[in-house]
Amino acid sequence: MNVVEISNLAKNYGDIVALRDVSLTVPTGSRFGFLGPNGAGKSTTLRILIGLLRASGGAAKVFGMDAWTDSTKIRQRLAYLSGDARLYDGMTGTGLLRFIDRARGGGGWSEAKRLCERFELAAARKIRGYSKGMRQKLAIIQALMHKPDLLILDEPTSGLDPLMQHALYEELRGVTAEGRTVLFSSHTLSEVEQLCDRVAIVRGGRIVEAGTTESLRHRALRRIVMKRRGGFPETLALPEGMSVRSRQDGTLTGTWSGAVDPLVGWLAGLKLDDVSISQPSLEDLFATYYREQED
Amino acid sequence: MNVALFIKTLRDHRFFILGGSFLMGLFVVVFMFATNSLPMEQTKVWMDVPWIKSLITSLMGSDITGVLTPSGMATFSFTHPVMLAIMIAVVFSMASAGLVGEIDRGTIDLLASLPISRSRIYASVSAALLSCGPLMCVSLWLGAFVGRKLTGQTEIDMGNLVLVAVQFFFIFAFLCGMALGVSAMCSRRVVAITICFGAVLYAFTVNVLSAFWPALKFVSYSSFFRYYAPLKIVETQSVQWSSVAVLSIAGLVFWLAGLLVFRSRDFPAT
Repeated sequence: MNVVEISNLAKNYGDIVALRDVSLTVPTGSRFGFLGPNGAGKSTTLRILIGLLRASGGAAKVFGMDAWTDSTKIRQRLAYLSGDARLYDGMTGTGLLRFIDRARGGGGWSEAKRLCERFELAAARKIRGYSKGMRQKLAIIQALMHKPDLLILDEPTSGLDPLMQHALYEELRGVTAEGRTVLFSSHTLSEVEQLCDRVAIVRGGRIVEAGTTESLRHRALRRIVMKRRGGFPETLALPEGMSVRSRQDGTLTGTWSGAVDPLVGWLAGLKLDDVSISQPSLEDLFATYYREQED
Repeated sequence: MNVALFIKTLRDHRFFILGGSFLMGLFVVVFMFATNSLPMEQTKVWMDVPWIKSLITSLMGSDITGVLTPSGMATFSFTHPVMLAIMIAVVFSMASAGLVGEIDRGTIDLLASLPISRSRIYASVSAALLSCGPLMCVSLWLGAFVGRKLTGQTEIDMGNLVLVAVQFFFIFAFLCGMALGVSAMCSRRVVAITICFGAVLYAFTVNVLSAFWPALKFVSYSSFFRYYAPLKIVETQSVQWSSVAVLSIAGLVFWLAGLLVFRSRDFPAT
């Protein structure tokens, strides 16, 4: 059962193409990571799902309903955290949470109080005096407080310190443990890797890859770290399939895609002091996908 | 309508609404003191100056020379540009803050992600704005009532001023409809306010110029000030229902146009 079903979604702003032919599904109960750099089309996709934007083409369904025509019904079961969470500065944190609770029909206040304690937020103060991190915590609490079936979070850890990021990850794991779903956009790959079980990579308004985090990591891509006294010359001939990501103090880091035999043969001729071959991080995958697109 | 949003909109502007209403009432009191201190003969001399007479006639919607009574003088304050400016400032500020202001500040993401339809958001802000009208009308009337008591002008007919306040509500409602309509169509608050003030300036200019330049009489029908004629109400002792109808329909058209746009427009990230 899928909570979100997007097929051939397109969005244009005049002549500017923001999304083209985007298709993806988000299964119920998953923590779905939506990866891409700024301007890739992540926020546009999420805004279409919430009904803030109308798609120029294709279809976007949430809970089996059309994201535009049934948006009010959908939003009864969904909560959204905007990428750049703007709040009512003249209100106190408590005032904002009370307003959200009343506007949603009530029932979320006790959870809001628990979350304020969990995220160590002094909600009695005016939002105008909040730091960026405090604003982000408040925005997260307003999204979580009604225990929605689907949480759509656009870069939720922005502005949070590592301790609070960890607290958020735990909350989100708790959400999916209850069978609810999290759709999570980010350009910080490590957090998606830590948190999500499924991932889609978007670039230039297109999905370039989608699947489970594990399946992406198990593609024929390998992360290579090599060390050699005297370093590696700039003119080092690289075999096809090898991509260098960094070269520093006698250490060369890169990725290898393809069969392993040619790699082993090439490494044997380099007279290395040390070498490690490991599963790629999403960072590596990300860079590889982008390079493929550019090529 | 969403009650929480209705209350929030009123709370956000409570000082502005109460302050504006108080200032309007205070202005009426001060104006009545000022006019009471002028000898009626002096006023009549001024009314003999053609351009002053034309200007006052354009503002009052009727020739004042025949109605230079205390009630007639009291209605001056109900149509004075300063008083209208206070009312317009409250209306434009609230209408723009509630719709285009949300888009401009980026808080529309928070509001529009709640399970409230766009029509209900629009209706809630509209209802909050419209509910300020009676307060302003009462404030005007109370100002006149206090002014009457303080100046001892017991011959002022307070019943007639109730009718003027009723007509005032309809020009207020028209301005609400126009401001909400414009606000729903814009993405920048400053643009919406500029358009609204431009419309007021146009209406005021056409209304005043048409008193001096007969060729503009026909164009003056497009000025909403033409449909606010307090002196006619004092003369006829009844609300000008044809003007009320014009103001109501025009305001409703603007409001509906705004609703249609607000329901179907994009809210892009700011």
